Amino acid sequence: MRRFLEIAWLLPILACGCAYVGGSNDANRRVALAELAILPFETPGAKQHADYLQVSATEPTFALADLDAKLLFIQVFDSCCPHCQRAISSINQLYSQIETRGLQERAKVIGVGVGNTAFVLDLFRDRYAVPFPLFPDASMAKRDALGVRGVPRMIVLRQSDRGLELVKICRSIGNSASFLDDILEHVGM
Amino acid sequence: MDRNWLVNGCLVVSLMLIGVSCTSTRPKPAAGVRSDFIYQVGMLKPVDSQLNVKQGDPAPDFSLPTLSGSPISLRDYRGRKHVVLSFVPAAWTPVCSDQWPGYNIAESLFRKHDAVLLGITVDNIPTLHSWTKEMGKLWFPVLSDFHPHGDVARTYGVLRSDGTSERALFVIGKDGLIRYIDVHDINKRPDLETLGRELEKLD
Repeated sequence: MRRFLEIAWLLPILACGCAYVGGSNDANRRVALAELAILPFETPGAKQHADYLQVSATEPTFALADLDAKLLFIQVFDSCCPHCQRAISSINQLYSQIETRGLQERAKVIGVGVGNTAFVLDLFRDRYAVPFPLFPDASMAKRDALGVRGVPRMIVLRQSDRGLELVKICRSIGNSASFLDDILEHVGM
Repeated sequence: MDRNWLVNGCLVVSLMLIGVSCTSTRPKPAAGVRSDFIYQVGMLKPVDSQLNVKQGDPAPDFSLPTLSGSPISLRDYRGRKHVVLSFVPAAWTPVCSDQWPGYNIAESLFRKHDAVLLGITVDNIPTLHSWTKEMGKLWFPVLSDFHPHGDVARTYGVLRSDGTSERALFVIGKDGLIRYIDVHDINKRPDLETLGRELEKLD
């Protein structure tokens, strides 16, 4: 007990670390992220979206590991879910914030529509003027690879020499500017 | 003594920080239908009724009260608009609470094909009022088939043995004829793309 008390001062530091990248299951998460990094995503049909991601329009698929961006903001949603419909405006604002700050080369935003077809995502994109690429996930394979159960979820990933790393998962980003500030500070950008 | 105070202080601060780090990852209440408000019905018999109409039949007319107060009759749209009837089983149940908000992204699709959507349940108006308020703004009228209970659902043959209705879609042309029927597996959400293709056929 005495020994425990003597090292108690370490706990605040550990707690701060855990706040961003949950400390448990790190090994499992690394495996999952390695699989996610090579999961095929369909190359966007719209040229502006392929250009935005800087992926080859002639290749049918790309992988997240292929992207040059240092930061990936992935909004996982279901276009029919009212929570997701209400959340999308803040994600649109996040995209605008990234552009306004001139970070669009280093930070990319994409959406994954769980259980949604391309047809439904087109309706969603038009209805909410979504400027970033949306990817259908009718089979829910992407959702499973991303390791989320409920929607909406924002997953922030960082590309590093060690591959994809999880920065943050949250249900709502709140204020897009503050959220971006926090993430940029955390990753040192 | 001072050392103990310092150690205990560190422990308290640690526990507070751990608490903050854990609670910050929990889902927060969000707009829309709260998941704990939804009554979990479990897996149900996919279809539990017998249709009384078929494709090509004249759609039986009806007049039902709506949330807005004014009743709506099917005949109001004859010669003016195509009509999609969306029967859903009951308010505050899992699939229904996503199906109708899902139509929020399809308003332009209906407008493009000169069609209107009428949502119908066997619930009473106060229940529908609360449910749709929680769901968020819906752009289409919501009709109550509550009294006589499920009368319109029974006429179309989509009233289930437990008094709820099927999860059913009827596409009715401007000529009043039924063009498409989907009595869907009650446990699953109908695909918007399929409905979109049926609306295209009306053009």
